[in-house]
Amino acid sequence: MNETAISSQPARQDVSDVTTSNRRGRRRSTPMWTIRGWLTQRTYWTLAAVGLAVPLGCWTMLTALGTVNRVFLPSPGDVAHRLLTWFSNDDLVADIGISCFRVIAGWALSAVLALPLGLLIGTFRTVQALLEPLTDFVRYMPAVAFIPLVMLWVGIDEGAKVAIIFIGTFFQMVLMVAEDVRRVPMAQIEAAQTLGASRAEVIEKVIIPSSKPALLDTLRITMGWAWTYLVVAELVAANSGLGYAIIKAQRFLQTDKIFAGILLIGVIGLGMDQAFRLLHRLAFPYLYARS
Amino acid sequence: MTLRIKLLLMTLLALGLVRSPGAQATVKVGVSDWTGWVAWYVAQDQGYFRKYGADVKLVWFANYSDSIAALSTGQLDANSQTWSDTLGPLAKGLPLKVVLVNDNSAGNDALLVGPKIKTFAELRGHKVALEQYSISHFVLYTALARNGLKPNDVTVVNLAAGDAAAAFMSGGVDAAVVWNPWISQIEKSGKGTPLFTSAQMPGLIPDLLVAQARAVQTQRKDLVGMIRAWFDAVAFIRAQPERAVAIMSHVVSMSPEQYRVFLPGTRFFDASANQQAFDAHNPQALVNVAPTIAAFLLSNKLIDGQPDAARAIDRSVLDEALSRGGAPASASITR
Amino acid sequence: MNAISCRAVHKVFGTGVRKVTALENICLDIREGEFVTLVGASGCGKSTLLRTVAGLEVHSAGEIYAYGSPVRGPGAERAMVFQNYSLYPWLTVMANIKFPRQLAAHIRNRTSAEVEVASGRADALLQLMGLEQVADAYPSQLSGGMQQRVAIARALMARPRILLMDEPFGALDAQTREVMHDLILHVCALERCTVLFVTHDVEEAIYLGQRVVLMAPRPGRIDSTYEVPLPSSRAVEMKHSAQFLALKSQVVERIRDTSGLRTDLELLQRLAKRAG
Repeated sequence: MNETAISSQPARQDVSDVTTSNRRGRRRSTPMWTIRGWLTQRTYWTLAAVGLAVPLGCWTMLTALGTVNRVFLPSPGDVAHRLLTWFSNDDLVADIGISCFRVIAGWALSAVLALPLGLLIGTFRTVQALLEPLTDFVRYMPAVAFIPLVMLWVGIDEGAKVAIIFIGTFFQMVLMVAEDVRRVPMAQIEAAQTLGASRAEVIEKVIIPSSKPALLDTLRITMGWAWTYLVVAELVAANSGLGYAIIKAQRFLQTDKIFAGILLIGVIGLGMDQAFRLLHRLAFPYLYARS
Repeated sequence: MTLRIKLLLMTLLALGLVRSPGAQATVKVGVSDWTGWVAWYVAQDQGYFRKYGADVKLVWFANYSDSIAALSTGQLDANSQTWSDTLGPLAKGLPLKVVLVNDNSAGNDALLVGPKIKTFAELRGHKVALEQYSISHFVLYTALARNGLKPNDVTVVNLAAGDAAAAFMSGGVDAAVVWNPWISQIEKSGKGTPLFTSAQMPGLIPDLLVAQARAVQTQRKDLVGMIRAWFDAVAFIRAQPERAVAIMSHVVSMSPEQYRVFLPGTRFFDASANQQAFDAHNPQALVNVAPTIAAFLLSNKLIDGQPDAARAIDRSVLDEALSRGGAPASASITR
Repeated sequence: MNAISCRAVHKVFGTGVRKVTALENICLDIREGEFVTLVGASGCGKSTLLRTVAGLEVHSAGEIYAYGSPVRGPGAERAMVFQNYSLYPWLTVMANIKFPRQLAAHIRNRTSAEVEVASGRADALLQLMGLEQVADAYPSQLSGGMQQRVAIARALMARPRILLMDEPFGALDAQTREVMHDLILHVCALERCTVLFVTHDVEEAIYLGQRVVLMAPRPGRIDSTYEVPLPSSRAVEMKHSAQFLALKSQVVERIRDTSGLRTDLELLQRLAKRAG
């Protein structure tokens, strides 16, 4: 049988394409600058390395010139040195550990509640009408304003920090989950219905598996947001953690420690993000299959 | 646009961006919610700044810590902050000068305990809520040291002053170190009594006017005027406390009745008290209490190295304020 | 008993000023085993009628019966094949085909013999559709024609008595479509299912159907019906026969008449003058 392959992959531009000149002697756009073009792995990682190295280089140069007071802009060397002393003298590992625990606990609690709730909101208009306006409203309330209430209702232990991170993450997550669920193509749902699926079967066998890749992405993105609430959460009766260390360093102008703390959070966040992406590739091979 | 016009515009822009040194006449002074500093508004309200030719702009900070950072980063010419919070930037070598003592906390900071705790011995092993590394922490540290306890004998729960008071009132902790208005709130509720107050540690919590070294050079006239205005304000507060309370309570949006309780806990420093504070022979002078405070900061690894306190204390501005035209007439009114 | 029976079916969308009558007084009977095609200009309601029979839309008035039972919603006995995007991307081709087996509607009273028969059926459908090579591939790796074959196989897995098809070959190129025509005729003859097939391609409608029902728009209604004068087993050469071509031109002209498009010579001349 003669079939024409309708590939779902975008047309690839071979990087080794020779650039051609048109009539006026100007070069047509090179493959690197083609819209939605394609790069080799090597080119991509080279550019990424440049993208990270250039700001680092500028930072080093700026501090070497001495135009800004060392107190307000520590050099990369100062920051690295502070990281080492933090590790050897101030229990950096414990700080990282407790902060990771707080963020992950708050985010996980959010997920456990937001996934089923978002699923219901995205599937049933009645639930959406009941809950979405309320969620939309609460979403705008700043988590930091909840601190006194959290202390009253939850106390001043780890629960309070986890609660703050929960408040900051949950409401956004619910709405994003609902959105992911709503994006399941209607044809997939109707196909199941015309095959005899009951309502519960449609939810279990079509809506959930169909939205899983988007849900994992939502979890990855909301993990990032959860991290941004760490400093707020560690305002409540904390005496350890990365956020706490940053707050304390702010009070006493230990800017090298502030930099160290912020950069560390960035690196941890990046690591978690990459882990999620890897999980996505492993869990959903059908999205990455080449025809 | 022709090249000439472009050049003209660029020059004007550049001139606008370049500020000639000394062109700033107004002294920007940070103020936050502490009785001794809110009193600056009395001076402003009664026209004392104008009277002494001081071009002053009071900048209000809802968050005290932000004002410290603003001074350190050069956004302010001077700020109202405590001695302990000044030692930190000094240890980093920032060019700051102490030019005036507004007051000493004499009861406006206190360690409050619940009904179960009657003595320091009973405090052992309990949780104390306070803002870690702040004045409150220093008060606790001093209180423990004077009563035979070590810092490890209690568990510090790190909460901002308002949150610490809330935690104490809801029973989450058995003790708290806070400042007013929370002290009076807790006392009024009947849930706690003070076990130790700043009145028992005179000289150790001075509240100061700290200026940039360059401001002392280029805006000396305004600073001198400010100091003279300050002594007038202190006299006014002593002579007409009700009117002073009315002015100050308005600044922080409280009622005068609520604000009145703060006055007794604040020992305002007039001219003679200031002279004593700047006199190195006095055991409670700024320079002599600095080591005690620095020890607290160092033991908690909040500063690296010893700050040069002596160099930061500049009594010349005070002397100049008192010498011109003699001491203000109101200084002779004793209370 | 008819496989499908529509009695005075009305379907209205919207209310008030924006009310649209998609279907008006539809009366249609389809016998068991019949292959009926629905054609018409765009907006005539053929897809709406199909979806209403499937139970995906609720009719506003009238009655629809499938084998004597009133249609109140979708059901396994009326399987539908959509134009595209209905395959499950997380399942392989084989898993997609076997999908109906997981559903409670098909699990009742499963003896081991029935289970044997069922998995044999999946393999048979796979072979029937020529999909053996790609049994473990994902839908995203297949061409459009192959994806539709999987969709049809999946629908047939459920052993539906009625097969509803909504322009299933609309997104395919001409060559693939021709192949699919013969395939679908072959399969439906084997399975002996009743088929209601919606298309805008008149040739396809005549080639596949035993009866062609023409619908007209605004409001959507059945305009006319044509019996296809071709033998039941079709061959490609029949597309060139005189009867085929005559019927085709008749249907095409009728569609044009009902569509509201006019080729007004005067109007065209006026336009040409303005452009010229």
